[in-house]
Amino acid sequence: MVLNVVVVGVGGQGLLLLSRLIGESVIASNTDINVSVAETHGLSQRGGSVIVHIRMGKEVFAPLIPRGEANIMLALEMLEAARYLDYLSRNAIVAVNDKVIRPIALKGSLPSKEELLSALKSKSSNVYVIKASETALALNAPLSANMALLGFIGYILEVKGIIDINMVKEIIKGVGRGRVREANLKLFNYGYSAARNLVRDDIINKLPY
Amino acid sequence: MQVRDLLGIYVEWSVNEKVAFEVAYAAAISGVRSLVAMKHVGLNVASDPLMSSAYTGVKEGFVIVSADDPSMWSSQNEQDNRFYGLHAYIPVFEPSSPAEAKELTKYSYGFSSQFKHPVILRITTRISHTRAVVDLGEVGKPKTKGVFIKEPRYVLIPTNARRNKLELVEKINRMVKELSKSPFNKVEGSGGLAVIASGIAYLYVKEALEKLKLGSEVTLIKLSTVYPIPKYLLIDALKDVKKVLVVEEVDPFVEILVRGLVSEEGLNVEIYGKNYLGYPFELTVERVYKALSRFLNIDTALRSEEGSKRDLRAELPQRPPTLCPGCPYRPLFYAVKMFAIRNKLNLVAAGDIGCYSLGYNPPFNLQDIIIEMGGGLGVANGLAKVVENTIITFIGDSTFFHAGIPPLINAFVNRSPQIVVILDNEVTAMTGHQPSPSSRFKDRAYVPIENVVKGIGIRFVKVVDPFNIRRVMNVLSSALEHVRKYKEPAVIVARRRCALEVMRDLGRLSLTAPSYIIDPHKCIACGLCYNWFSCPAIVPGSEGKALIDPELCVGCGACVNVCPVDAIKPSKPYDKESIEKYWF
Repeated sequence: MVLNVVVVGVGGQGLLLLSRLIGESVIASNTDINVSVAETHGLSQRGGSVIVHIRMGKEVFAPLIPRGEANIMLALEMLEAARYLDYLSRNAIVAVNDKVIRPIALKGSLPSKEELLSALKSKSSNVYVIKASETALALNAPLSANMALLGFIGYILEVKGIIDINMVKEIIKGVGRGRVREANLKLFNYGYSAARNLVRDDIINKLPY
Repeated sequence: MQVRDLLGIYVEWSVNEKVAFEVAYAAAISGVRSLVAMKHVGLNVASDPLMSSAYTGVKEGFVIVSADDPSMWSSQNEQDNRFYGLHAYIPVFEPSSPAEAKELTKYSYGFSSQFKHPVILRITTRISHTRAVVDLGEVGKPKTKGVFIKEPRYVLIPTNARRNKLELVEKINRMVKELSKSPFNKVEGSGGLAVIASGIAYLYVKEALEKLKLGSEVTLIKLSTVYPIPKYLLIDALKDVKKVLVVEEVDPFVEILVRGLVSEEGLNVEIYGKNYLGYPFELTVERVYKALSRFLNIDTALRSEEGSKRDLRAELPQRPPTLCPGCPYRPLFYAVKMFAIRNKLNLVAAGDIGCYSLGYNPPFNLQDIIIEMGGGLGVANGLAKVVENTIITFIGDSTFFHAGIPPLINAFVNRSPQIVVILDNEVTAMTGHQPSPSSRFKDRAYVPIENVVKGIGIRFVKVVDPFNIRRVMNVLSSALEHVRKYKEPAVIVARRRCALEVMRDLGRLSLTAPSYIIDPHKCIACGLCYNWFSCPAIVPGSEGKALIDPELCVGCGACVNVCPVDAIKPSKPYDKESIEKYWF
């Protein structure tokens, strides 16, 4: 069995770094779990819609996750969370940053946060809203919102025995410098606590790998 | 520390693919192993030396990595470069995973050295853009110095080329035998139904078979060396097979070769492939699963096809990629747009490939033609001769050096009236900040673009800061006058560093510019900043008044010059000079 994670958001929000750190954490934790991280660079990176596919398991084949088979979604932006809804398996765990980024040259209206959330909730009863951007901005490190989602999935993967959380913290210390490094760790802890408080262990235990 | 320094090897970013190919080829004919890597369309640029390299052969391992882009995630086409192997008499290997890419590269060197012949390693998006566990193994000390031994084979005048061609045909025949024994091709399972999977298709087939709960009941032939087709392996593997499905990414390359083989050998095998899988775009598990179900006559639906039929995505606003906050190209496009509107110009904008391709999107709509790197300038030469519109050409710094100089010289000598805007952000930004000849990086010489343009003899050459919108519009005005009066090209170089580079440099120095804010008492809700300038950080708030998202704003201040009522200012005072210098 394979545990499938999609990471979605807007190019420039640090999705590729977040995804890479998840992959590196799995490898550094030295279990028998394999991991692949498939991303799309180029045009999609410049403020466009981005999805990254992460797969972990004893044996991982295709790099892309089939629609309907993602067990976890980490979303840095709500519109993008809704856009990739059809990747979710029923009752997948969805951690979504409480943030909407307005597309430029928008035609028509922007859906409200409530509408986007209810779309997500129609697909899963395990949707958790995380104030990652707000917390990051308060720490004067707006680009570190991704670390909160790393903390969130960090807790889940720790419970599953896929990663060693201290290993992840070591890896984070290698990212950024000075003030940003401190903010990264704070945001990681924020996301980690959020998952510990919000996600029941029985839901985590049902996840495959 | 870079791998280059660790191993003591020579690495460079060449000015274009043709030159890169020739640099690496030179090493290989001098007895030094080399590798040249480029995307699929890059091999078009390098195709001239590619063809010749097969005729001359090489002395030591020469690997040509071609990264194809099925689905065109960031490309103008999805050509299948395996055909280059067939076209040029060069073997093509195709790894099935990132880990195998490394193993196959090593094998390619051995094979290339053995046959004294170049090898194409064809990878696709999901190999190139997937991170996975790769075991490096032992890395030996590479040989970095060689000797060029003069031989007639390197001088492709007709008498020598004819002799080389005879050798070439004989070499390919020897390769078929060797590749039929390659450890990278294998046959799994057994039975009268077979699947041939080349490259990464193997992973999709493995996963689809697992979903179908099928394993050894199907003969699975994994091919990682696809040209010349491993004939003897296939004859043996297909001897008891009635039907075969060929699964491969992009064109029916293996399928065509297998059809040829089956016909040549008189095998009694029915062949399926693209008729079940479809031609365009990259493979997915779902696509392979459907084709396999049809091939195996299994009626089954995927989980993703059940559930909600309502397509939520169709109702969501699109999010096309955009120029980054702080991008110097945004004020440039804004100035051109305003200039065109004010002067009622019927512009045709010959565009090119780079970040500025994004100028195609609203609100700018300033890229009317994008075909290949350097193509805009060339096409503008012809347009200026046949249409009545005002012709404006946009080309970035690295694209200009890549393939923009010959068409600019052509425009000058053949007197083609066009305004040429060279957007110089001093880096190859779109593809990940590789150096451009205009980059002022240490250990590299650099070429100011205006020197090249002046050297050609072009009389109108102006360098502008794109943030200075008023000046850009004035320069556009005099360029237009020049083009109309003298019927020859006028060149504007818009120079300011890529914002991502500037932000990275500021970050390293722990410097930040404060984000900017809108004074709501001054803002008249005209919408110029969010509708026309369209910085992602500026959004409409209540009553249409502008708001700046502090999470996205990089503090570049470009929008200040756009606001007609001076309502945009820094959120706190700062020493502008100390930050500003990093932008140039």
